[in-house]
Amino acid sequence: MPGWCWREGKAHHVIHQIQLKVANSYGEFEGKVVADLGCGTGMLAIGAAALGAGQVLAFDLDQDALETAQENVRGIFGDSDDEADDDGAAQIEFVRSDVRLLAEQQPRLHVDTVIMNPPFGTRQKGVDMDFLRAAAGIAGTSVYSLHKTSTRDFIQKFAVKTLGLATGAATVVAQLRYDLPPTYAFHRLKSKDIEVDLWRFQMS
Amino acid sequence: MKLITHNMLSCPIKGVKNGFPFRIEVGEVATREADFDPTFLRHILPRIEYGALRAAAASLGFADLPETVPEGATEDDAFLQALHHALLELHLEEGALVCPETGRRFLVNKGIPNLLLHEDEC
Ligand SMILES: C[S@@+](CC[C@H](N)C(=O)[O-])C[C@H]1O[C@@H](n2cnc3c(N)ncnc32)[C@H](O)[C@@H]1O
Repeated sequence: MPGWCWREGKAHHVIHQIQLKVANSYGEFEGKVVADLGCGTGMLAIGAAALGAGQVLAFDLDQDALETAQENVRGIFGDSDDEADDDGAAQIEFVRSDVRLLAEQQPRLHVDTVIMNPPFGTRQKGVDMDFLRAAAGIAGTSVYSLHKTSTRDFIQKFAVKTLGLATGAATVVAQLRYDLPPTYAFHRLKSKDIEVDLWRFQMS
Repeated sequence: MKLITHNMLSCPIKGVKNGFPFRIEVGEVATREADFDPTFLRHILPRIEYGALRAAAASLGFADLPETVPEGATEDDAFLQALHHALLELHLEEGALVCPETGRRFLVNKGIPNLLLHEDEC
């Protein structure tokens, strides 16, 4: 099932908050067009809208995730059919699409900023790099993305060689560590610490 | 789905050359008021394919956009209001996006367009 995602629960929520906060410190959300690639239940998209994004486009493969995301939007910003308190809700658009096709097959898709929490590629090798390629293909200003710290050197090279960015354009702006709860761990009953990097890729 | 989104999406089928703009098959349209933000409109206007927007708005029943972008558009309040309404307040809730080249229909349900392809289309 494509929507299956093990980064769940409380730790996940904290990671979202940190990712949004650090990313927002560069001032690239307010008044901008933002994309959330692999939006899942929409937490980053909702965060970006709350930070004042002019418009957020959120993409995922999974219909159930998108419908949950839409319910979350209504829950957080109020029912958008209701006039009260729907600021922000109005700013999020969901599209069901394969993120891997965006860079090549969506020539008119241009956003300012991408924020994403892509699959780590544990189940499908290289999908995280496909997401990065897509993000770099549509972002005009910057991309904020989470990746396993163990892939740091690889990503640094990938940014220069494959994405064609200048040296120094890809930087780790935060390093995080969190507990993967045992219920979601693949093959062990102990919980497991995961180290992740928040990257910022400067596009222009 | 709003028309700002429609304006940025093309038919994703491999090999399609003229996959933009999608023709719109209207099932249900909703209008929702959004905050008027002229700064944001000025920011995105250069990226908008205006002819496609105008035709799409007309297909959703809004025919008030002028034929071409007027001179001094970024300071033209009446124009910006119409642009705002067309881009950000009209929603296609139910319907389909139809590829202008192949005729392939991509359904829109609950406001969410489904651009997933069948295996033989990728
Ligand atoms: C790690 S989860 C992140 C979800 C969300 N961004 C968050 O931080 O809570 C990855 C998401 O990517 C989606 N996904 C995986 N492969 C995809 C693809 N090729 N195209 C679009 N979405 C994809 C999954 O359905 C899942 O919702």
